[in-house]
Amino acid sequence: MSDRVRPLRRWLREMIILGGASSVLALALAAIEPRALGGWLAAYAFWTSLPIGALCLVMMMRLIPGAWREELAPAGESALLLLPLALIAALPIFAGLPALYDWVGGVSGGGFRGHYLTPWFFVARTLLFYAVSGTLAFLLVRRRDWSTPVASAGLIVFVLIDTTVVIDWLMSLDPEFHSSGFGLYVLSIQTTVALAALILVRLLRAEPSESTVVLGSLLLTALLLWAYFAFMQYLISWSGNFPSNVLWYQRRAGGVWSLAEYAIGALALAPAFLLLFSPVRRGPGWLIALSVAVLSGKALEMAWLVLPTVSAALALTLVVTMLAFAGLGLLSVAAFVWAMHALASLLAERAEGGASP
Amino acid sequence: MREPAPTTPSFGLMAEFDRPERLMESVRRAREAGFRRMDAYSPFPIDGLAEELGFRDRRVPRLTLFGGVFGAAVGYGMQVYTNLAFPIEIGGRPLIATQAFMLITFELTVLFAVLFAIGGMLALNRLPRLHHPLFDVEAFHLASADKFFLVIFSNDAMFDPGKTRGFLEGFAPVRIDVVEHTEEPE
Repeated sequence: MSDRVRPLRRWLREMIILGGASSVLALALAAIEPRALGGWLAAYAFWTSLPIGALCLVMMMRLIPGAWREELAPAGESALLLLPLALIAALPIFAGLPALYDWVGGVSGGGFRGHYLTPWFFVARTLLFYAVSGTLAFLLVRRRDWSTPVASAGLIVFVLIDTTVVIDWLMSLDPEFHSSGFGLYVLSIQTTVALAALILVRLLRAEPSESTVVLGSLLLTALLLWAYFAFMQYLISWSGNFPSNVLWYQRRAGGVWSLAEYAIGALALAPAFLLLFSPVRRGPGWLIALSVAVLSGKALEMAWLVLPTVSAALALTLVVTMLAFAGLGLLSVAAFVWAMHALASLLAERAEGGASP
Repeated sequence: MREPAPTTPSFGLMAEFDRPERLMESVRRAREAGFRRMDAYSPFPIDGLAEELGFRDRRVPRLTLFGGVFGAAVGYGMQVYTNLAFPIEIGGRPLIATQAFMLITFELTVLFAVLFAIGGMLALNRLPRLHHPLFDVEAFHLASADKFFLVIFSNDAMFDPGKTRGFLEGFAPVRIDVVEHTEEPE
């Protein structure tokens, strides 16, 4: 056993060192050119989707029985332990608020929006979100007897606070842009990221079982839900035809971003189409490939949501984005592997304790 | 599975079981023995029973797909036609506005897919149907309570009233009934 654990430890240490170095480099570059911090925000939005989306999925798993519990619950609950890392990754954003968000200097019109979009209130809302999510995650992992009430109340609270903070993080980049579906749209990205990652972990860790077929169906459901929210917001903005909302889309359709748009659509809709066929839904190899495609599409989508608003030098911003994605990614994967081990030993300890009163 | 026409002497033979596992086992052994035209009845869905019976009918999924494609074409085509036949300029919107047409196209896709699925299922099952020969067997109403039935149709190539009855007795069923054809109306 120790022969297997030691290389794993070394691997984890290397990943943490490499990820930490990459993150520090990204932040150092962003310190030189503050607006390049948008790259960090994009990576932050993508990688925090893993614990945040997993929180939503784990609460649903507690309420909705079925094969997905055995298949995804262990990895899903481990992903919850990444919430503290997400909070740490938010700190550079707090520090760089004036560079990222135009509303820091004051918004046109003032009024309620002027009071709502202030730095201290922004930070307070994000901290409150992590406090509530962390409490929910703690209750889900340590107080299993309460799972029905915690998950039922938690899902309602979670959807409200998550849609609130993602509007802060991503929609307020453009304070003139209004979309009431934006929160749910980003929530669908977050749950899709978490689901694809959990499917990947499930299939890479153990042999596929009889019920692996449900994973393909779940991924298809998540992609269709995403397509619905993404298209709804677009259709409503298109029909309303107001300059602020049209500009938001126009900025994201110019130059290289128009290619990104097609790539985002293709990396979600092509997997969704392939998942209609039962051999694809049943094939572990297919599911692994499609999960990777979906994850890369969603990473691109987070960059597409953030970067077109950031008016820094594109080359530097892209370097910071790459470094931040790689850095936070390595740290997240290392933390995830650690969390899977920690949770497994915690549950084993509890099972032993229960056996000998 | 085509049911026997009234030209055969009887409709078939029916064995009654009290446990789902017994029904599954009997279906498997009857298939192994070479029987093909048979059907099973149970109060609740039994996982894997349709596969054991050799049910590989894909017509309903195909009809659903056809309904969906048909609905999408009708939904989109209808909007293109009405906008071209009665053009109205609204705030600079293009006459053929694909974005806005998607809603109705989607709705009609779902509507026709579901209509074809349900309609196709009913038509292929020859429903609605007021009577079925099995209803003449007194114990058959228990198929909606707690009993499980296997029927071997008389149009099976291997069907023989005496031998098939002997074969079914080998499964130790609760009882075996001969299912007669329903009398034609005078």
